[in-house]
Amino acid sequence: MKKLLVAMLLALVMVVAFAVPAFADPSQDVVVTATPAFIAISNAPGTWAPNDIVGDGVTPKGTTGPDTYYYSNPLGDELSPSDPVVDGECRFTITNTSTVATNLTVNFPDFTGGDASTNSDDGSNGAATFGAYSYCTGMTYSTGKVIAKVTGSDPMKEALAATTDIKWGLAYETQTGAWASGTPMESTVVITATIDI
Amino acid sequence: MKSGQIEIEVLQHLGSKEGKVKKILFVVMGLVLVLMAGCAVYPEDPPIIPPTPTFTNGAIQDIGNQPPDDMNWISPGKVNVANFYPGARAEYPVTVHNGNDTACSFAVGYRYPDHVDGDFMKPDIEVQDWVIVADMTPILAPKETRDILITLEMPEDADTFAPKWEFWISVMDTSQGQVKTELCVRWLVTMR
Repeated sequence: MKKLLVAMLLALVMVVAFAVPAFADPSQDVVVTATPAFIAISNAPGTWAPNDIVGDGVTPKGTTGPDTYYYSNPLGDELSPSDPVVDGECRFTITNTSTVATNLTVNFPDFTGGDASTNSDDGSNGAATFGAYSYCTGMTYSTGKVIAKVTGSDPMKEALAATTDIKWGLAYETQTGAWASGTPMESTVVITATIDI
Repeated sequence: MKSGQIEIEVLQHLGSKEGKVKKILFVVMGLVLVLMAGCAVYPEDPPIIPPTPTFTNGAIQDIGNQPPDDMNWISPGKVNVANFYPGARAEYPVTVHNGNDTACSFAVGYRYPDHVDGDFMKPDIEVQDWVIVADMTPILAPKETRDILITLEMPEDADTFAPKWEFWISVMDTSQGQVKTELCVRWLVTMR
C-alpha cells in the first residue's frame, strides 16, 4: 500500500506541475526604460532659393536652368564645395544643445507646384527628376556627400557630439527636361535629429 | 453501524486481490496524466491581461544640464521596450518643449525610421497602427513643456516579424520655413 500511495502522490505532483500556468508559461513583465536625455537642435536660415547669390558670376539670377547643379554654397551658386568642406561653404547652421551625441539625416521631398520635379532618390537627374545631396563641414565632399532622398536618407552626420554646432549645405541638380510651366516649385527639406546609439 | 461493518468486510475482501487493484490504479493514473497534460497552458498562449510597464528611468530628472528654455526640445532620446509580445502594451510619454516666444503647433506622430541600429530591423507597415499618440497636434504656449503619452499596443494575433525592431516618434514644429528640423525619439523593441 505504501508503494501505491507514493505513486499516487508523484502522479498528483506531476499533474499540478503541468496544469499550473506559472510552471508552463515563463512570462515576464514588459520593461520600459528611457534614456535620461533631451534632443534639441535648431537650424538657420530656414529658407534657400537656389541661384540667389548676387555677384558670384552666375547670370541670370533668381531663376534656375534645367540640368544644372546648384549648391547652397555662400561662395557661389554653382561652386562645388571643396575637400574637405569648410564652414564658409555651408549656408545652414545647426545649433545643437542636445545632451547626447546625435545623428542628423536630411530628406528632400518632391517639389510641388510648377513642373513638380520628383526626387530620383539616387542623386542623379532625369527628364522630370532631380538629384540632391547633403553635406557638412569637415566632410570629404567628392566621396562623402550623402544622397538626400524623399525619405530614408542615410545620416549626413553620425554621432555629432553633444552641444556641438555644425554647418551644412545642400546640392541640387535640376531635371534635364526643359521647364514647361514657368511657375515656381517648392519643397520642404527636413533635417532629423535622433540619439546616436 | 451495520453499514460500517459491511464496508470493513468489503475492504477485507478486496485486500486479497491487492495486486490487481494496483495495476488498475496505475493504468487509471496514467490516463489522468495524459488527459491533464493535454489541458495544460503552454507559452504560445499569451496571457489575456497585459502586464503593467515598469518605468525605471525618468526622462529628464537625472540630467546634469538643464534643457534650454529658448529652444524646442524633446525628451527622452530613446525608449527601450523589453520582453514585448503579441497582446502586450507599453507606454512612455514624450516631453515636448516650445522654445518660441509665441504659441506653436507641433505635429507628433509615428515615424518610419530612416536608419536603424545594429540588430534592430525596420518595422512592418502595420506597426503604425499599433502606436497611439495621445495628442497628435498639440498647441504649446510660449516656453511651455508638455508630456504627450505614447502607447505601443501589439494585437494578440499579430505576427512577430522580427526579434528586435525599431520605430520613431516624430515631433515637428509646424511653424518652420522651407528647411525644417524634426526631433525624433527612437523606440527600440525587443521581443521576448
